Amino acid sequence: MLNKFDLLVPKTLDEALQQYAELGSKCKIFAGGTDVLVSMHGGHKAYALLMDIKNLEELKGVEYTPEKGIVIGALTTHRCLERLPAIKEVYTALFEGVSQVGSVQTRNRGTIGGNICNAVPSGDTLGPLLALNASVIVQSVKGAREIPFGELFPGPKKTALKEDELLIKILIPARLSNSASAYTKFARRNSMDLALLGTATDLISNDGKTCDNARISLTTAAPTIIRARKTEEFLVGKELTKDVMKEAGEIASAEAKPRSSWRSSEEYRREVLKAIVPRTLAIALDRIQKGVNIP
Amino acid sequence: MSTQKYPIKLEVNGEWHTLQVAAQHSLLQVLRDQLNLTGTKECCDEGECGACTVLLNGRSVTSCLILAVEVDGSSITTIEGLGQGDQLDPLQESFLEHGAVQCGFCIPGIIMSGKYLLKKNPKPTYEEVQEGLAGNLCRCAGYGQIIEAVLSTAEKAGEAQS
Repeated sequence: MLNKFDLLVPKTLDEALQQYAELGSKCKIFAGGTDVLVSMHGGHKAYALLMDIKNLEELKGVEYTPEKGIVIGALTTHRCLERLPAIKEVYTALFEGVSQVGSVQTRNRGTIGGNICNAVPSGDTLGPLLALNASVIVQSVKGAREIPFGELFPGPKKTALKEDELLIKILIPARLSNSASAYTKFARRNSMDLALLGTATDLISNDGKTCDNARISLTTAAPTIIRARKTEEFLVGKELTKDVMKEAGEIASAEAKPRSSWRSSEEYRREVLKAIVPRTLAIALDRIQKGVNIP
Repeated sequence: MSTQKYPIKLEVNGEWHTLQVAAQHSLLQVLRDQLNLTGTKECCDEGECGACTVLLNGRSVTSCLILAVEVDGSSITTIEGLGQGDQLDPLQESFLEHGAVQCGFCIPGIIMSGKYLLKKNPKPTYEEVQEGLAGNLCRCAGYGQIIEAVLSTAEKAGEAQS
């Protein structure tokens, strides 16, 4: 049962932005409802005013071209992305993220924009989007601006969006033919669970052996999602042997800042990182060798 | 806080209803309390257990996490909408044949998830059925028979077509 609240249902983006400019933090934005309504059940969070943005056409749709990359409307559901060939075949790390959110029912309803704005360090789409060098377009009555994913999360459950800004779409750059990506979610069970840890890798290797560039993100390994920059620097120019990948895992484990929580201890999380960072690198390398992530 | 009611229209199991709902009323509450369709179960009320699963415009969703006002004009299928009179849906028959129903509380939601799974994937593997039903908890833990019942329905539908 939910407590009483008032509801705004804007029909156009202009109307929504105008209302949001006036109300700001007095009003809670919701789309799929799989986070917002859960937080309200049992009176856990009492929002007096909700704004349902599901009708805004400007936030819908997905456009993919191999040359320009992909533009994803913020209201796109996880399930819709999971079933798009371009996501599965080209942006594979994101496929591995969206297809592991909650359950089928959650994914049929929950949106990628909502997953981003919820901004938890365990969000399954966040690590892949950071590794894939995504950015978001946000808009207010004053205009639109682009925020790179690396600047989007100033703290846990916080985003860099201003009080009057809505997330409109997500952009991911075009892929190179000598690259591949992968995401590993480490959790107690396969569904309906949050990541104890996650890591996404976007790897470039021209000869299928040497790391020419790597973008590695870690989820639930710090108060926000983070890049494993020392690990990335270590890998550039090295042949990706088993020993090199193992060492990369140790560096990632050392540079992460995991906390102890009831889900698991800091020590355990550091050990898990040593295992899943090399594993994910190996998967990405294997995909490059097999040529499966070609745009 | 306002006590405003919103007029909505819902097509439930092929029949249109005009209803008055408050903003905080979930689709689950409206199905059970206004339309007396109590086959859809209320349990965790936060999208964890899947007992309230229905099809919304053909997609499986947990109706406890959907506001009734959000789905104005939509088509809903509940467990009551599957059979035809005394004739059960093949998936329901299969649950009976396989003894997949113990206390029965989770079964309406599991059958709705099963219907959605078989529509999207008519020939699922064992693992795909596990994944497709992962959002539905059965505390009697009779998952083995439940999965067999779904697989057997898919096999029979395949035989009937070939």
